[in-house]
Amino acid sequence: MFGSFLLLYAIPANVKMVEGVVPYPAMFPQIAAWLFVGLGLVQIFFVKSEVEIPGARQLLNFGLAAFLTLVALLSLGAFGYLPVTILLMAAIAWMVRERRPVWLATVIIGMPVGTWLFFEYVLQRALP
Amino acid sequence: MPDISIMITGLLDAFTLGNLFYIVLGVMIGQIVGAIPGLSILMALAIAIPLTYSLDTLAAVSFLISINKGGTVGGAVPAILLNTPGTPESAATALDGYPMAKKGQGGKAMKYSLYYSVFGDVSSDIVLITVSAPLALVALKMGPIEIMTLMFLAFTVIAGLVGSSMTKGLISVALGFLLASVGIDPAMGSARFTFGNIELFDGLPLAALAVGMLAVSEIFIQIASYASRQSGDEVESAQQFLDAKSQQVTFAELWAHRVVAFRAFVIGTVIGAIPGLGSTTAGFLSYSITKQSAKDPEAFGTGDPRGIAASEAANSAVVGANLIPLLTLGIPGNIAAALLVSAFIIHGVQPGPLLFERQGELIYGLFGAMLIANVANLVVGQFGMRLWAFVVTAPATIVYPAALLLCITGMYFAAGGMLGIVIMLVAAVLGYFMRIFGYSVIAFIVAFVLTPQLERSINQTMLLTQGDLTDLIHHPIALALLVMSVAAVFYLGPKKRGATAGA
Repeated sequence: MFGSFLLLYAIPANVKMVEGVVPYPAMFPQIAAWLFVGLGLVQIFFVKSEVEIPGARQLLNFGLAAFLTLVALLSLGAFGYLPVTILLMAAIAWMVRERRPVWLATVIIGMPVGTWLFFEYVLQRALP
Repeated sequence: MPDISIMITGLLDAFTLGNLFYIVLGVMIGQIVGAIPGLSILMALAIAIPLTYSLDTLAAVSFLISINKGGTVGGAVPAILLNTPGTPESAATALDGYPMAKKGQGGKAMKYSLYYSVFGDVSSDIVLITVSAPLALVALKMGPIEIMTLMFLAFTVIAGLVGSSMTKGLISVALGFLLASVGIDPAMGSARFTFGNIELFDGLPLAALAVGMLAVSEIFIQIASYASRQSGDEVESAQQFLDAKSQQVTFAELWAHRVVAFRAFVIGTVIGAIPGLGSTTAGFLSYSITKQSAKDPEAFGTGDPRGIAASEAANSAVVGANLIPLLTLGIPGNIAAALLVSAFIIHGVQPGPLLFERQGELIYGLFGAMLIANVANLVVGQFGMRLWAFVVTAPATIVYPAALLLCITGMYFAAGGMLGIVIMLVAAVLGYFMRIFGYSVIAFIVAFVLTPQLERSINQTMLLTQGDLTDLIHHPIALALLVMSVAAVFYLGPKKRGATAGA
């Protein structure tokens, strides 16, 4: 399905279609699309594979970690590096149920501040 | 043949106190930067170049080359201990390094990595010193047609990385083709899949994809695992080590894998001598060839030292070999070498065929510095291993979030801002689902790395031959590589895969 979508819509819409030239711009995307189609059919009809799906809790927590990181990334421009990363580290520490004060201080305050100092003053590279 | 006195004077110049200081400093910086996922050696070099303005030429170039050498050693450490490669080329090291660490032999894995890395580096430096000029001429014979057939050979060798399901592995390769197409196509200069975003004109950044799929994906998995644990379950340290004796590596153990290491050094040197290819390609190709030619390929991916030897010796051998076209012909072999060119020019030295004649003392001083840097790598690496072993004894609930922060911060600079970090995040999610459903992340990454070079070389070949591929018969090296590709399909093909572990 993905291969068909590429061939019928995505490639014509996003790649210049040229004929008579090798390699033409759409060549490798089309090779990929035909591989998806062909191999997908092989998988459906000829290949039996067992997939071990992680538990719902694991999947949700993975999604939550990714979501928190995405929110943090999108907030970097508006709020700056230090506040956002401190909050992100606090959120992840809450997720993993880290409660020991010394380690909490290390990961929530120490790491963001230390990283900021390293990049801003040692590497002389400005962070948001 | 250069004057012996110039050679000796040059080599002795490398042993001044000032030069030694900058070599050790460069190695330390390189190992630290290489060990931080997201940061790249190129960034370290770019920052370091202005710092060298006030140094003399030999000290400046020694410093920069030492950073480059340190980086190839440093990148393997987080790959082994946390399955979060510091550099893309270290991803192949993680395939066996991390399983070995999970068995409690993280120290042993790091030592294998360090020793074989230094072996590869020293060996390619010796090649550079002794046969660089004739080797450069051979490397120059590798035109677009030869590189196209070399890419075909590389793709057939990738078969060793697709894991236990060839179908799924090829789908991963197809995904690599597709995502490598993003950007400007080399033939017509038209934009592909850029969606009007000018930042995508250069394509998707490899660092963002590799760090996302390999490092950040693993970090999220670990965070999710600890978040999902039962209340009251004790949190273990990020990595645990068996007793000290289990961490030792004897000379006999190193010698046992000498063939693997030597083959990896040859692969790395050949790849490094050809402009445009890189240490990521060398590391993965070497790993794949070693795995497929082994009598027990199923042992790879379970903590086999041969996997570490194959990857590290190859990716480190590229460093010295990259200087072959640079010093002999003035052609930088990769971006790091191009930065070195700028350092040379800043100090009034013009790389090229006349460099050995006009600046013989400098060049032999540089050779001496490179050999000293290898020793420094070995010594500094020993301390670095102890430091890292201490760091990972911290709780995993601390180490992995800290690693995530470094990935985000490093990628902000390495991949050019917010887009790079977002791509890294999307790659992390994609990599997670690829792992769940059994699609090889490694095969995808290698295909992504090789496809642009393949497409460029096909384009150049078609232009050179004007579409007449029978012209290939006038290129014996290309024909030989095509024959090797066909042979690789039969010799390294399905009969070898059996029940190999997935990547």
